[in-house]
Amino acid sequence: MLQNFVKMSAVAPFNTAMEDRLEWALPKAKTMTGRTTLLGSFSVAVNGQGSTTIPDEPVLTKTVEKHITLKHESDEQRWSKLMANAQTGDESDYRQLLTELTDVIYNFLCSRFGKHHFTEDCVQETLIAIHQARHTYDQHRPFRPWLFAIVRHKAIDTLRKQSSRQRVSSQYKGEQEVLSQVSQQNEADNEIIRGHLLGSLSEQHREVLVLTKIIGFSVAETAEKLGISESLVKVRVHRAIRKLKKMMEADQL
Amino acid sequence: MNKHETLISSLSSKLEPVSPPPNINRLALAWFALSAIYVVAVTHLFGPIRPGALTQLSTEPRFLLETMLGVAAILWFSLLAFRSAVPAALTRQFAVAGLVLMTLWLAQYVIGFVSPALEPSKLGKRNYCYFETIIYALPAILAGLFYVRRLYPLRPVRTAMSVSLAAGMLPALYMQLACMYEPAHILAFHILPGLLMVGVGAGIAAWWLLRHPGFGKG
Repeated sequence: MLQNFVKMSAVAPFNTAMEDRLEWALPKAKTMTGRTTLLGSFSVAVNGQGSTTIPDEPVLTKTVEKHITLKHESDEQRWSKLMANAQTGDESDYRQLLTELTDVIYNFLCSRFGKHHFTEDCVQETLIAIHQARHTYDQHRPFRPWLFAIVRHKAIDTLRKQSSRQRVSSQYKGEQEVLSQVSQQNEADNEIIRGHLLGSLSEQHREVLVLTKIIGFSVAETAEKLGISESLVKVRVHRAIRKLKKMMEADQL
Repeated sequence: MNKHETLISSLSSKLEPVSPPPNINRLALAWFALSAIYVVAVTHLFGPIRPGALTQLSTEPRFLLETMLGVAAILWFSLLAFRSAVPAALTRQFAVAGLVLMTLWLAQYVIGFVSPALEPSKLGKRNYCYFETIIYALPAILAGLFYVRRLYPLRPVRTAMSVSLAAGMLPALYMQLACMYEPAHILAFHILPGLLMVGVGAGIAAWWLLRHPGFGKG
């Protein structure tokens, strides 16, 4: 029991700092039954010393949330300062900012969509977008909303563009490679479980999105595989993306 | 991560300083004020306004309310349009409030079919008010789009539509003073061309995006 939360933190979908893992695991820990598990593991996870002092649950939740808030605030201030320096042309601060943001964006996307080639593309697109939009960041405004507005937009944009890219690349792919893509479906399915946004789509929407945008089948191939018409595939893809977009917009950080 | 490192290093090398970000609200207000001055000036240049229209503003409270609602709705939409050109600067509540204000203003003319704010009359009718509304709006649209294109609109077409609606409604509102007052005429010859400007703005934005495919696309 005591180990559950620690395990949960350990398998958090990011290979990042403990604070990030904690942030990921907290909502899940909140839903777990068994107060001892949550409380006991908290002291191990945060202090790393396995302290036996067990606070009350509301106190604990408050402490963890405070810890996360403090981390957000320190990130916020640092990123804001780095971006302000980048606006004046400071290369090293800009490099540091983009390096830090790469991990943040990657983790954000992995937690929403799972780990796909699309995630990598999206990180790159987002970094370029941040570069192009850097003159619009006002340091009197918070950095995170500015950043994640771009990330959310680019995620949907990249997902939407996936099919055309895949089609272009598929012209150069042999039949053998297309067949090998089929074996990627299980891999993709496993990743979807990790990405809560894709996972929360309906079965119909999820399967067309995975086949067309993530595995890279054409609309015709997807239609054949699912035994539905091509126009229905297009409609479902369109609706799935629209739904994802709504969920992304509602996703408050 | 190697791919990312290469990209980061290419983005950060020879980094050009960028000019400090503008105060978006001030920018929107400046655009609104300049556009309003331009519309008033050009309307007067091409013909007199309706006799007694300014006096009616002080003697007819509903007419004043209708006009003030129009000013508020257009001002709000100007702020909304410019805010939508900066990531995360526009909140959903702000956008909804703008739409509510605009609807409330336009609803006044529909209510006017039953109970007009002023006694309908043909006094002060301008022969080309429909085309005047369109033509007077165009420079304001182009100026607005020129400004917002320098920011980073995540949805360029939507931003252009908002700018165009605000710009289109400015001459439409001023025609309330410059042209005859009659709700059906106002809706068909002032408001309708103002609304059509939304399509013009969307068209300009789409054309722009076709010519500059890299714009806002990363």
